[in-house]
Amino acid sequence: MKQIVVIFLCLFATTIQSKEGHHKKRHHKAHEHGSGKLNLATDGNKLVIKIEAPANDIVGFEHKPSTKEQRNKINSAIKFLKVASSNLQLPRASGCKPEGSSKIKAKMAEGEHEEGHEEEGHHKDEEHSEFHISYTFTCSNIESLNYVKVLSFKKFKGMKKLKAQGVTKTGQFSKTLNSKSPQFDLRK
Amino acid sequence: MTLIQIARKSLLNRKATTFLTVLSIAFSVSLLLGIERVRSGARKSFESTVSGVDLIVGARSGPVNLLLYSVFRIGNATNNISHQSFEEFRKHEKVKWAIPISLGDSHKGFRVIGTNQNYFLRYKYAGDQKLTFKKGKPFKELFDVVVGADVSEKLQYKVSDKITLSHGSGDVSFQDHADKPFTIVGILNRTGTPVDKSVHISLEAIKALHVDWQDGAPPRPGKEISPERTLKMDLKPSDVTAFFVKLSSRISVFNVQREINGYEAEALMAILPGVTLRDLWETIGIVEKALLIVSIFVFVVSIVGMVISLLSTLSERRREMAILRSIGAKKRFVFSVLIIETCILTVSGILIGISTLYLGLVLFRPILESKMGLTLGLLSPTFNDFVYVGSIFIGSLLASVIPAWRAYKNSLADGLIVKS
Repeated sequence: MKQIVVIFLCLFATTIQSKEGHHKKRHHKAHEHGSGKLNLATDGNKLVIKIEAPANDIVGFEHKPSTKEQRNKINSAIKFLKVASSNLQLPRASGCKPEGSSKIKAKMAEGEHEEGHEEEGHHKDEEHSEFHISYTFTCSNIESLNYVKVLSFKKFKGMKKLKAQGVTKTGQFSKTLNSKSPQFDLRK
Repeated sequence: MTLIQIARKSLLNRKATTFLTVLSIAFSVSLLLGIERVRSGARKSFESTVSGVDLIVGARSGPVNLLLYSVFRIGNATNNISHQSFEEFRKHEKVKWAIPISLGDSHKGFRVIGTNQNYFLRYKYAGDQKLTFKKGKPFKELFDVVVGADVSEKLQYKVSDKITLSHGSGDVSFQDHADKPFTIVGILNRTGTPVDKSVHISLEAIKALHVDWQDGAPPRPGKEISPERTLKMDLKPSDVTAFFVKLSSRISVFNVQREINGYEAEALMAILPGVTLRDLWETIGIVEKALLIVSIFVFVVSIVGMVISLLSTLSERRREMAILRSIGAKKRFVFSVLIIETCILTVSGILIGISTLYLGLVLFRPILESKMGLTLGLLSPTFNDFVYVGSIFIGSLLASVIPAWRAYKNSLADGLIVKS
């Protein structure tokens, strides 16, 4: 009887193990310094713009802030990004007004992050340090929304480019934005 | 006699050179505008091929590859995806509808598309246009088939004709599904998209075609399953090649895309067709630029030709100029005659070039449309056209200053009796 129980337990343990092994995530997100993403979508009179950028592009480091200066840097960045109009310029005719407050998430990875080393394998939790910013607008005349201009290239020097993708009633759009051409056109 | 009359008469005096010069300008104009026409036409027909689809999902490979085989029927899928994954995302709360497509078979060089009834209800092209039937109706029975406009025209098919599909794609197939003939139940109206070149059957029919196949090979003699027996079998499709997704709200498009791309049960990939098409154009843009550069060179060569022919006639015309001067024409007048001559040459070259282009378009458009699926907009000149024509005119005017200046100077030095 005892033996049977032991065998049973062993079997059970292996199934759990194999299950765990099976479900382990092996997906890895791309993380390229100097390059972020901007996703834009409209539906009805609603406009949602999400920006994901490596923390290095915005504050210049990718670890938990250890000094007061670093904490201030993060806080002032968040303060700047929170105001939609300081980061984005929309055509006035579209009548887009920020709805609620913008959501900003600054994910700072654990551990020291040295400059110039390779990205892989250094973060224990495989999470990259990133800023996730989400703006929601309600527009009175969304037909006139024919461009979005990103103003934060001037503020954050580390931000070199944003790969922009847009989905509107007119169609789907994509463009790589940078400080020289910060305007994302939404016309055919 | 006015300036223009003198210029005209002097040109007519040298018909052969004038004709050749005009011809070379005309060719360069029609080449430049023609390339522009084909370029914008290709873009437009690509862009209008699929509309109203938020995402296209297929096996994980390259986005452009997925777009090309799923929408334009160019190339082949690296992998199929399971029908179960399709079902899971079709029932996804954020998905409004999904159209599956299954590729791999063909009929006399035309691709066979396995799909479902949603295809005829939901598929949209060129903005907001839906598929319409010229004759007949969507497929309903297992061995029903709906053909595109080109297929029915080229092979002269009509409703209730029986056809045989072939395994694999390509003009010549060595393996026919001759044991399971299909009946045409519908013929679609022309769309100007790859739908015209498609043969549509149900996903179950794709399964039925291969129900007695083993390891990708046709059944051995005696192992075939007859159409009658197939009808009674459970023909649940096991896989599809790709599927088109429309979401309830566009806002969720990036979230759903991320969810599909990170789907753990199967390596799937979701693309935004419009975005991928733009990426494709960026790659093709280099070729387009090369074509443009070539046609600009052709234009430059034809202008150089014009200048050369004007310069070479100048020595013959020294006497002509001298006579003009002797009867009281000013030096400025001589200069202007040559400039106006070039104007006449260029303008007639441009006019002939444009008419040749339109004539060519009218003549060859049907061929381009049916052979290459390229719909070219006919009568609306674009902004770029005006820019090209304008710069051709200004370019040749500037170039004509060289011979005009030579004539101006010569007329000072030469007397009535030209010493040569």
